[in-house]
Amino acid sequence: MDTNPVIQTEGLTKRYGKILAVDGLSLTVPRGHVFGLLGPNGSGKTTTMGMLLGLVRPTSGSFSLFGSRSDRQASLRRVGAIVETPTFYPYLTGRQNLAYFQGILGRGTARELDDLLEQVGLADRGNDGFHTYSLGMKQRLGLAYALLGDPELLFLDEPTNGMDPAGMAEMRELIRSLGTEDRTVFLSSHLLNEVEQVCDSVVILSKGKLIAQGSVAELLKGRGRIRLRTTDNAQAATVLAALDWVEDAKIDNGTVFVTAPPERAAEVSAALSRAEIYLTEMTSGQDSLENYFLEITSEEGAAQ
Amino acid sequence: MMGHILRLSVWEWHKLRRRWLPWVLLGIVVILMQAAVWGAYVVHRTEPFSPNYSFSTSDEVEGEEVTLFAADWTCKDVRGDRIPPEVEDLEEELRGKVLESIEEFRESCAGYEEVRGFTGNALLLPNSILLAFTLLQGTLFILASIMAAAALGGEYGWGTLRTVLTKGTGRWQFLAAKVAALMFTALVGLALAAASVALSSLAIGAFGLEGAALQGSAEWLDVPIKIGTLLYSFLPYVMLALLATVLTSSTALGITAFVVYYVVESTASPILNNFAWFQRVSEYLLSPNVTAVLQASYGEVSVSIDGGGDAAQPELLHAVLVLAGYILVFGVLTFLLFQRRDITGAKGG
Repeated sequence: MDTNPVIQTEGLTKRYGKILAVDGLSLTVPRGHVFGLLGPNGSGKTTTMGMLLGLVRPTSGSFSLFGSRSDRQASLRRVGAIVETPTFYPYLTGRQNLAYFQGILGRGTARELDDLLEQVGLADRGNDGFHTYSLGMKQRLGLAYALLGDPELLFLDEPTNGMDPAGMAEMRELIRSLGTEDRTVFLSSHLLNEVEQVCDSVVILSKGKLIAQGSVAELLKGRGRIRLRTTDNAQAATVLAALDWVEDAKIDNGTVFVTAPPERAAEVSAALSRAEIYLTEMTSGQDSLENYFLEITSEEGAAQ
Repeated sequence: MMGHILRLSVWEWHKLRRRWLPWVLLGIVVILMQAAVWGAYVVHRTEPFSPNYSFSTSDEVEGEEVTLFAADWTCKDVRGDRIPPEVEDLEEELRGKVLESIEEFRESCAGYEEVRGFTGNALLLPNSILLAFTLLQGTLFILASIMAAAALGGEYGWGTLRTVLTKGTGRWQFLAAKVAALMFTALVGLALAAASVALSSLAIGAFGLEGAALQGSAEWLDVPIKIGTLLYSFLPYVMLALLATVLTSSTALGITAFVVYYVVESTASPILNNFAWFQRVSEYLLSPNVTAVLQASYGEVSVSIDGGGDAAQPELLHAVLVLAGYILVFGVLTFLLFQRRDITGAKGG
């Protein structure tokens, strides 16, 4: 099996006049993962995908797909992609659009088209004009297009955009099933709970810069959140903030939020007892990717 | 590589023929060509431009002027050995006088009869096809360029360039396939338009064409030559339309930029030709060279479409090379620009 990373970038930069859309991005995406690309609007996610897909010329830096820096066309023939809203020919049907892209790819059969339409839930609408499709149906056709030719690497930019909740759940399951040993999914989404459910690893961008990278578990390790109410919240927050394994303790709306490993909840209780503060309510759990994301991107914003 | 471009061209052609626009443009071409051929036939048949001759003789009877005989004739009435029937019943002396006048009129009709014979011949196959193409070539350039701008501009408008290029299709290969598919579509369009003219010509031949030879004087080989030179002449205009479309990323702006260039060059050139200093420049402009290439393929159907002015027509070889230069320059600029520009989402128009 090919052990090269499927995507490797070094100092990838894109500047539009005075605006630095992507700033020296270096990342490595291993094979066989669902890899999430996160970032607020304007953080450079779509520009990064555009550069990797040969749509946008990097200002500087370099990248390789499947270990190759030179033959971009050959590499792209092993790739499937949806960038932003999928765009197709409005005067063709869904099936004719897929047949066209299959035709220019030069491989595949009519049977493959049937299977793909079935897989994305468009079997009964495949012969309707693309101009009659809803946004959710366009996304489904986009995924069928991305899967044409059984690509080894999938770029999916906001693939659940415009879908109803059932469709989103279905799509998440499909994406999860696509990230197998032989296939890598590079997913960009602003739905953090979606990324948390689907991705093995994530990269977080802010203002074009990489600010965090790792598996979801690694990023959230030690980032538990304990929520409590006490007989003296102000004193409780002071006592807990002084503990070296507590990252943060603050009061919001009559509740103390403590950032600490959830498995140390008993030690929190004990520390408060020693200070003669008594619990009236306590819940603990793992911090969400959303909280982590909001925190890290706001810190990055404040630092600049 | 060539196989890949060929495959792309075939699929571009599939895409083009499923759009309304090429069919609408073909419909316009066929209607205009039919109008040209049937219009020429109506003119030939009704002879509205025939010279007239009025004959009148009178005598004085009991102090009053009395008209003995009066008639208005056109060349049609005296064509060949024809004698108008009203002359037959005249008295011999008057008849002799009238016949003498008719003979003089018949001689004055000779020039008109020659032109009429030519237009009659022009309605026969294969002359009629050459005539129709010649009369409409300016329109054909504009329609071909509209099709080119729309074929590429649509990709920008719908945002489909991104979808095509992320499937491993090289940019220059895609553009080359686009040009190939456009030229093939133009070839099919011209062939269908020629076939429609041929059908009309056969119908006109069946009605009979007085004054025309039984068969047109051009050769059938002149038709593919004419179509070939038309396609060659389309290329610089098609590349110009594509360049304008890539520059503006829009069908509408691409067509506008092309039409402005075409109209300015076609109208300013004949005016500026009146200045000696401009005549050297004119030799290298697009439209005089296109005209020179096309006039070399008129066959016997020589209808002047010279823009006017005093400039001499460029030599054929010079014209062919200048057009090749334009194709190369517009082509290279289009390919370079298309290769280097970032591709964004749908532009919507």
